[in-house]
Amino acid sequence: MVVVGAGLGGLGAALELARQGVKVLVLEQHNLPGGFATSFVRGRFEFEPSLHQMPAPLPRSNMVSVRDYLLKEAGLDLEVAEVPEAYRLILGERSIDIRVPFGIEAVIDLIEAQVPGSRESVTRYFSLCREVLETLTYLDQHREDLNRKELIANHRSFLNTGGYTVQQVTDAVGVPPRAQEILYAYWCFLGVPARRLSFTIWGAMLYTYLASGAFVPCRRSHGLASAMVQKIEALGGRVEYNQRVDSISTSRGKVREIHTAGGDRIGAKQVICDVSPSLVFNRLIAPRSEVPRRARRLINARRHGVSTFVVYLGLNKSRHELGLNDYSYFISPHMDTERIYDATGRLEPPLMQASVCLNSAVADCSPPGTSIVSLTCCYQPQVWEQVSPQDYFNTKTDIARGMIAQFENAVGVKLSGHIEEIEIATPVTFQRYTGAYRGVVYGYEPEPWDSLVPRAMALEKENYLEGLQFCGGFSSRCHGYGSSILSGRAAARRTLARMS
Amino acid sequence: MVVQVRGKYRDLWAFLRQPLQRRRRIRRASPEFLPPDPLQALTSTLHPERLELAVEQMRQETPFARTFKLVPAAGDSEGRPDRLPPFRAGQYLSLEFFVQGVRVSRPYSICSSPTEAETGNYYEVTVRRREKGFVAPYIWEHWRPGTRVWSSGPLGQFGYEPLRDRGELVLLAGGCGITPFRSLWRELRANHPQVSCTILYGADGPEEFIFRRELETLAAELPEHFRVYFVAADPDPQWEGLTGLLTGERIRELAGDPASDGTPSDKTFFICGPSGLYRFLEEELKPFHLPPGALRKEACGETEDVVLRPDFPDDLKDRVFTLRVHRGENSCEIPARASESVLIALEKAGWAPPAQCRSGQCGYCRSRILSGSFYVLPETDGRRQADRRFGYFHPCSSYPLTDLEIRVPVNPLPPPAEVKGS
Repeated sequence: MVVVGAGLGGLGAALELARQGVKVLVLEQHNLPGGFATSFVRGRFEFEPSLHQMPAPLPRSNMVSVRDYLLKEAGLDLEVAEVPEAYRLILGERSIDIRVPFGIEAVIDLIEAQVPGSRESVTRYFSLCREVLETLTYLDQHREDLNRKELIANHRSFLNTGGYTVQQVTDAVGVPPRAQEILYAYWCFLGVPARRLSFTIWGAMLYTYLASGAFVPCRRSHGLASAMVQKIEALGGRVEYNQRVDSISTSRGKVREIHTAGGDRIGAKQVICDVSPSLVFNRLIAPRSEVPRRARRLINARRHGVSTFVVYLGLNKSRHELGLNDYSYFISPHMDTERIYDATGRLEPPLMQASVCLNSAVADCSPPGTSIVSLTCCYQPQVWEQVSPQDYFNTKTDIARGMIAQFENAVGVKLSGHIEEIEIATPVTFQRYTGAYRGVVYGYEPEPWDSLVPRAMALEKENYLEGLQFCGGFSSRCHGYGSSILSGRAAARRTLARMS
Repeated sequence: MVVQVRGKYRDLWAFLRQPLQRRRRIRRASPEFLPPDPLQALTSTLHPERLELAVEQMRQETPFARTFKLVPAAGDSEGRPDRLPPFRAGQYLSLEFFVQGVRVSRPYSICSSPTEAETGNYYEVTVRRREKGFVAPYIWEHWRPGTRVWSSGPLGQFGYEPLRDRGELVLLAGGCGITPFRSLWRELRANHPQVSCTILYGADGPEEFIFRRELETLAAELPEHFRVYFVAADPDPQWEGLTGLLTGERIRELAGDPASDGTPSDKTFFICGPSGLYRFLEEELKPFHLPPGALRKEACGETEDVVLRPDFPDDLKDRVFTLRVHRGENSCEIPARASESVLIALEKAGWAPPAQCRSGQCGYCRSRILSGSFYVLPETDGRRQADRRFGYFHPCSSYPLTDLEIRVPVNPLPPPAEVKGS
């Protein structure tokens, strides 16, 4: 069995296949596993590429927990660290500077203190989010034997909100606008403004993180990807690097053979792609006449999500010396997601940055007396396409300078003057290393019509070529660090089911 | 508690109609293939997998140093040459060669400026002839105007960074370590007038100073911004300039005194030269109390004479070990000297992974180590934490201490066409 792409989705698929005794070969174009889930070294520092965290297992729930799957079921050699708090939120125009903790009760108390009178609506909001999450778990577990009557009888709130956007549902529940702004900070993990974002995926994500907390791998995402590779290989699978797939040869609607850039031809009746359908159907499937018109229409109907821009700082002082007391810093003048998103369409320093001091979760991620801070923002795909090669370096520097200043002003901590190492990644950088179409990091935008449930319901119908399954951030579970792994596992299980 | 958004029936309908809505959206969408990736043009201009260049001119700098001007070898259908990628002053090219039938790569700093690449569409590299060398004599012998040269795009992180560095720089060069600094001073002069710079250039004798006239002109024309000092270690009697080594005292005297009360220096120091210079200068610069990050060192390619390091096991330095190598479905056994990097052993046998920095930093040659142990200098150990744990290593900066069994990735690029001898 061949898996194309060793991102977390592809590795998740290969891991599950190997665990089920299938001999699996993973072909990766880069010289490292993990895709966006990697790391890089500058001087004494090893940096995490982006805002990567996974929800911890939800207490008192039978929900699929990616952490339990990796650590307990698959038995990975992986050390993880808890993220200390949800986020520090600094909204200059709103005079909000608060530390949002993990734990639903604590969040409700905090919002009540900030927005008196919000308790009732916010409590209702979270119990709705919990129901959404529970229903998704229920649907996942009853994929084969779904009882429609039971679904309608017991999961009504899920159904009632499933066709709407975040803004529609949040307004209907009566959450006051100021409370909404506090809650919306995590929108940057999905990259779609509240007026277009599917409530289902949002509610589930918000609840999972706030109720259960989050964790990160201690040795960066490269530690996670490497642990997955180690397990895959221990179970008889193989991961080959520098092996770009040039084409997937197809005839009469079935996958037949994989052609690598190095000239190898590998017979494969079943292929799992951790590559976006945008690339698979537009670049890889050969001959092109084999690409169904419906596949092309589906891709054109969707909107590609945002890419990211990250400033990585290795600082020559500890976080305590600098006064960096928090893990995530979400900094923006306000949390009007529409306006923030619009700004991601312009080539200028962002309105909102989501920044992380990694040492607050993994104390020893950098040498004693140093710390790592990364400042992240989003850009819509068309933005960096307008940059000329000659302006590229200066554009990077100018935006990074703006983001550092924004952080320093908002947090009141001086970073410049302590910078030992600096690196700046743009959509170009992400495309360079992953080959992602237009440098997109966040998959297709999960508006209600293209969110979790519609994607899952259409999975069979949209399986346009026999023997081809997708996983990763552009697949059925939408984008996300943990969900990429679970999407790989799901793709592996679908493939196994077809084979038997 | 059941939440309603717009009423029981409308909500249910909003949910149930989603598959219909999805189908309608798909039906209405264009059936065309996606246009070519609009970002790809920028990405492949900035980070090409490979550049095919040609020597346009060569210039003798000193009896031992020659500068080659490299231009794009290919062009579009109308004969316009391809555009070279812009780069940051201080970056290098990883050039690829076939020498005596062996496919090897070498990093060479670009010594021309980013502005020249933009306006003149060329890069320059300066190659010092070293009798002991493998590649340098080959270049001297074979490169002539018209010779094809295969290269990576510009790589590396050495150079001035306005967000990190101070406004006053001290450039410490040894021998041909001056080459990335030429790019840097040209760039500073053109685009960073607020930065001032002291250049201390050490070499054995006056005939070894590359770009001497250019540096003297620079210092004469812009004395406020550039102070240039040549320090000859072992000059002939006619030399009237400074003599000796680039000691801390010398640097203090020429580049400005760090306060004697222990306050850290407010300058950013850059070093480029042979590996011995780094060890020497690190000691000499200790009294400057440079905060970490204010001392920038260019990766200098493979370390020479690793076996002479005090902690290298003395009894092993002449040993030749057996390297068992796996690549894809294939395997082989080859000899590997303790005194040579694993990468060199692999190159000699034609089993090398791709390599770029050859200094342990870039990780491009990352390979799996299945058994055996190796020596790696701490300053060239750029492995990721997980790679140490799970048994990956960088062959370019690792020296065998036992027989080794390793798995290497394939080189994704086909070999450069063998350069015809002239």
